[in-house]
Amino acid sequence: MRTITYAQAIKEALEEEMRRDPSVVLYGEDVANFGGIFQITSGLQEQFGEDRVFDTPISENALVGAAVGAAITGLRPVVELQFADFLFTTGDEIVLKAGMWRYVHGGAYKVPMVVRCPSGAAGVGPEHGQCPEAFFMHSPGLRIVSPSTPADAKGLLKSAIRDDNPVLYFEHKLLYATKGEVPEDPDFLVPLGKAAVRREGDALTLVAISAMVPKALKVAERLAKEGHHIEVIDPRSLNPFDRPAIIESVKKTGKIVVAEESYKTLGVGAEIGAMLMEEALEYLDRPLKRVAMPDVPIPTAAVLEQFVIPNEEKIYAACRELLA
Amino acid sequence: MPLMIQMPKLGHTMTEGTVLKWHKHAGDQVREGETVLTVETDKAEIEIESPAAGVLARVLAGEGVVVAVGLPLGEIVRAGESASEAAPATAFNKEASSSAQNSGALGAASTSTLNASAGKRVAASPRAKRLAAERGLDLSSVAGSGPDGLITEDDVRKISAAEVHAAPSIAPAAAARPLVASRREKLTRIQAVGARNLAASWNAIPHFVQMVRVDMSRALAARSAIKGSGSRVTITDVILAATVIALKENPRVNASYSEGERLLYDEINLGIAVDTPDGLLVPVIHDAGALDVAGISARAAELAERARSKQLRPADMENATFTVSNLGAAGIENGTPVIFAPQAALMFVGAIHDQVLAIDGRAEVRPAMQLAIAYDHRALDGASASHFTTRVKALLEAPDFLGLNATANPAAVTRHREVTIDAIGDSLKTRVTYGSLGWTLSAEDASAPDPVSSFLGALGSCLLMSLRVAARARNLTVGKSSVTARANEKGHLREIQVELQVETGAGDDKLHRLVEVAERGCHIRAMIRDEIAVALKVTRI
Repeated sequence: MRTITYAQAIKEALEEEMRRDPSVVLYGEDVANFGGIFQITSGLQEQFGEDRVFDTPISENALVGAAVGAAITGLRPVVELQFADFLFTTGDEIVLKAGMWRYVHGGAYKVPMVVRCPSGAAGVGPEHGQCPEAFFMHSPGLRIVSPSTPADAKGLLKSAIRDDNPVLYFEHKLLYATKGEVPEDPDFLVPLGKAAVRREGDALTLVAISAMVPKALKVAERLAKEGHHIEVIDPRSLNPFDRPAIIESVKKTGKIVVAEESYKTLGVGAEIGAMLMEEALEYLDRPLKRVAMPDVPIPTAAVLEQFVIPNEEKIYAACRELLA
Repeated sequence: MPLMIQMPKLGHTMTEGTVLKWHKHAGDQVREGETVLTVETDKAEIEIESPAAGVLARVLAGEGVVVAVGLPLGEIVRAGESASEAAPATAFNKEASSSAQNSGALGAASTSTLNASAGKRVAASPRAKRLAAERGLDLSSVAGSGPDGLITEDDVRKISAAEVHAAPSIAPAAAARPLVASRREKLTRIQAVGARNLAASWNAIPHFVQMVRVDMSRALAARSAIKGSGSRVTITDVILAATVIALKENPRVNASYSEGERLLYDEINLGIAVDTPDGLLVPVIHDAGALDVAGISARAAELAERARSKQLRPADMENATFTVSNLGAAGIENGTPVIFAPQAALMFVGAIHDQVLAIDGRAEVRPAMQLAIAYDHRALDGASASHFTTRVKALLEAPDFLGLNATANPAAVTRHREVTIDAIGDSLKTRVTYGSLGWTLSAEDASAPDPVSSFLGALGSCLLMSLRVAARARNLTVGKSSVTARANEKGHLREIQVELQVETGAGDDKLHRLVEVAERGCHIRAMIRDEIAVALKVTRI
């Protein structure tokens, strides 16, 4: 199979879905002329025309609000935020409109829209470097995906576009350049709500999200050399969330570490911990460990940024502590 | 589904047992309830029966293998079933026999048994608890290896597989000429467990011992008197009965120490140490407080016999609250015993032999013995323990509790005309106590006489005794005599009919005179109000 980058996989998903379905439209700040801040959408306006690919004023609130309107009136808009952090600007439109209107209006509308959210700390400071998935896991009605591989980036985006619910699609900035095999089949889809077991093992369950997945796999490699075969699970989709996959793994291992780039308090790991308490307490042999962003704004200074971001060493240390 | 025969949990502290003998072989037919194998537990050998009729399809643990409680020993397949495929047919034997290296795990765990006493929270992971529950293991004695001593799944798996082994060689490496044992005797399981538990008791309990010398002359005399009446009561039974009375009066001795608390027990469960060819066994007389000396004697004899013939059941050895260890028969005069945790005390009984005692300023030779009572200093201080120690001595030196006071020693009679009456629970029953004797009255069913019947008994007895006293005074011969006393069946007492039957050669006049005198002299009769009609009739036998 051919190998492409995560960024190319996203673009390929957009192209395929726009070709497949004329109701898919794409807009955002600088997505047309400039090709998007991370050059994901470059050349798409030439391919699909100004009606389907166009630039908007600098107002995330307006462009997400317009997407809600477009979605409930028959289009399938895909909008790009330059940084996932700008989701906070769109709060009312995302949380109260996109997330709730299908329910609030008794199913009279569907809200088939995708908001692409480049996430992750990458030397861009507190307002452009967050992984805010957990904030929106708290809101009903929103689908949330965080692909970690090029294949999932493509397959999940295509599923997201075809889904009749609003999807927040978190694409990690540091993953854009990563490469991997990606199917060319235009009907290749990765279903929402299905976790991937990236590596099998029985010593410990390491749940890793987004850019934490490649780090987790390196940790697993290192632990295997030390005789501990751990299981690495990539949830891929945070809503819907594949609880059975994690519970089954924990039944096997009894120990769990969650690695994520969200803030620790009420983060994804907190939710997983609570879920295990409710549904699988009797299988836990150790307290759950969370490797997450400490509850501080992400520093702009590079050294400090590296200090707070969960890295291989921190994940390794947490695993070792449970394996002791 | 095929049925698994599992290592049973036959006592609170049992974590494993040894397969002693298979009476059936794989492939043999078995009937329901038929003995399939014998296992040895901490305390006894137990025969395990087949839970159903069928075929012993597989033997999963060979003879001599130590198996954790709850793990499968064999598989019974009923007619029409096939054997399960999942069960590890041979793996288990291997695991158990190759676990010699693990002996440290259980050894270390067991020493902490006593620290983890009743009510203490067991810090175990939920997963470890689940596994322990599946395997029927008790985690209170397990030392956890996880953070802050948390008991983990691995810890549970280790105790499941661990095997008890005797201590390794003691030869010191540096010795020029190492001391080599000429042979090694493997302890029996009972001895090995006893060794472990005693070491744990000795390590955990701050012992102190109180010793007293007891003049046994009256106890021996009383016991002879009882024996003369055909009873099989031994002097040990007398000592046990005295101990029970002293325990009733000193409830803090019938207790356990537990993490800053004293656990007091209403029930007195008396452990009696019995020497058997396999080692020391301690069967228990349960609820000894409810038994008199004859009851204790019968129970003790039964238990001792069962211990010697290896017929003790685990329940016979459970829940002792106090133990008596009698080495008197072996000629030992005194010793410093070790308490069986979690009991708070243990009494050592020495040999009885003639000793010179100072009695009222004179040297007298009397049969005497020594008692050495070990106490847990966490549960009792010396002063409160001394009340118990001296009470046992006093009871044995004046054994009124045997009910032989009047003949054995008039000076020691329980006070006349004083009884205590206690209500039994919230029932319409009472317990009347007279010295060490007692009886029950009931106003709700026929399980005991009601107070009026009891009164009629007192009246009739009193009349009869008065009659005999009067007869003596008149030199009249009275042979057999009995009384029937009857009152109106319901409601207030209105009329009483008393029929005296007397065997006598005295003429009618003399007899009627005698009855008149008896009626006048009877204190009970004198108490009856005038409006209650008392009809006294006398007939000859």
